Amino acid sequence: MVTTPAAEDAGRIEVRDLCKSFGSVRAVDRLNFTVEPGGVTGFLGPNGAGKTTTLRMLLGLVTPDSGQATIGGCSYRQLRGPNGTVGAALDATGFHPARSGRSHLRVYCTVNRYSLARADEVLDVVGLADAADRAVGGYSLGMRQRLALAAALLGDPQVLILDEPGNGLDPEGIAWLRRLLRDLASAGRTVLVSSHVLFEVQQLVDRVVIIHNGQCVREGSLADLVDVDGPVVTVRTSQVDDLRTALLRSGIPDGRIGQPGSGRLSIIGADPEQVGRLAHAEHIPVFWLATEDSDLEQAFFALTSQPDKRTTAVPSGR
Amino acid sequence: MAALIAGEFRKLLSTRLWLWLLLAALGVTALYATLDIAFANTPGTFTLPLTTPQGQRTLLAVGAGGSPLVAVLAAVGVTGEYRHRTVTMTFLATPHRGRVVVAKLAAYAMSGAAFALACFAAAATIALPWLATKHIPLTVGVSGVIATFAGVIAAVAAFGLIGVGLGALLHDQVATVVAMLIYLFVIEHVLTSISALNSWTQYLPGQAQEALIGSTLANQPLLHPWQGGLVLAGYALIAATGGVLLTAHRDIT
Repeated sequence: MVTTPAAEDAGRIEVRDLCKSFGSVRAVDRLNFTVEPGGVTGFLGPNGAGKTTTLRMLLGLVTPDSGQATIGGCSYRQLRGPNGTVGAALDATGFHPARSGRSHLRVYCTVNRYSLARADEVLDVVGLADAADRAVGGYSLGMRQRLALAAALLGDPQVLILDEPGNGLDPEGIAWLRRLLRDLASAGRTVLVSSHVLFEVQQLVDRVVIIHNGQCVREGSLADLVDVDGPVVTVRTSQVDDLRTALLRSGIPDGRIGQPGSGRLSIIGADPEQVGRLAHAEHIPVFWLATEDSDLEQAFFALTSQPDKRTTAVPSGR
Repeated sequence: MAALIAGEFRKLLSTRLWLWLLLAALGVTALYATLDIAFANTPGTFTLPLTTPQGQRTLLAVGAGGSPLVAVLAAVGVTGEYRHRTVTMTFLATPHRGRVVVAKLAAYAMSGAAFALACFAAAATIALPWLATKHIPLTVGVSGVIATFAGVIAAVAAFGLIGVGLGALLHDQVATVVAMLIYLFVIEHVLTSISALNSWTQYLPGQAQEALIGSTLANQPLLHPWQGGLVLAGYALIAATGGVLLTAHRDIT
């Protein structure tokens, strides 16, 4: 794989100020992030965070209200022979049940003018050669995931975009997927993998983009997320909003404050003493304060848990 | 575009629906031809006597009887992509969605022509020996056969276009297929049976097809064949244009 600067640019995914609403629901809200080639990036967030909508905008399937999503500087619709540049596996449901796996892939070989033998090559790569002639209707979820991946690999693309590829794979399948994506990334390709289960991709990714309510709450290396953040401090208080304001004023970034439940705040990488003094200085009653060593799942949970709107209705204890 | 059309044929031929519908179209053709010959000279039928050139043209024209089935095949070819969500892969391979719809229009017009060819051959295979055993001389003439043949091919191909266009407009498979069948087999028949409306109903798709293929029905006024062809082409154009426009802007979620 040639890794000239031009090739690097060709594989960069850039999302700038991307917005999309469905009716009154703001699915994606001024989203920004960049994905570089040569690594596996996890695109994380709870269900409903806007991951799938973002990927579908990146792939020209959904039209953004505003903002840009580009691959190598081009929108998807500007790409020539897009299957040869970007391979995408968006859901494990996009198959005609009566069509065989091989026939499914051959359709896209024909459309792209690839040799029909390419279908068998990618079936081999994903380990479906034995099931190639069976109707997809009889495939297990894991087999459908593999077939979707095979379709994404058909054009030997520089960029690979996979939406929840671990769904339906057994631990052995996950290990296989990890090796495959590692190989692809080490050859200089861009690999973006979405998931709502951090545990699933923890062993898979180098970098993470975490989104919540359609906004990017964290972008960086996986190592940063685990190590630098330190402990998670969780506070129970009747004045969640006041405490949040005070914490923000003291210099803790918004992206590190989460609200894991009614009347609770979680602060990633905070000093518990500092939080306690701050609350005292602001006359904010604290009923409970606990420190937990941050592991990835906790950091993820703290960042992406839904703020509970009811907390604002709790009467002030002052 | 050739690759896209070839891809559509690969989709069509990789499931069995085309085969069942072709068999059904051949069955319908055989049925119409048989009924036409068996009851042609009974009093009170709509068809002309089989001895006349027009009667013989009407008999051969039953080859267009499979056109509703071609419309169904075409509509399923479009709406099936939404139903089974293969449309995601289709648009990932071809982000210019208008090209996908145009490829489908071409593929299903060709499929319609192929169906028409098979059904015309079936109608001729039943009609010619049967007329011979009844000692009815062929009065239709070569030009009459050619005009009927061309009309049947064009009419069934047009129903392929209409099916693609309607499918692209409505998206829902069951709704599209049921609406088309109810219209063609019920609504249009009811409307055309009201003789006060005949100056209007001759512009309906089914009646335009009858005009194009050169049928002569004793109880109905029909347009000239070329007018019928234009009217049918108009329906196909409206459905196809609407389908292309609507498909281009719809979010695939």
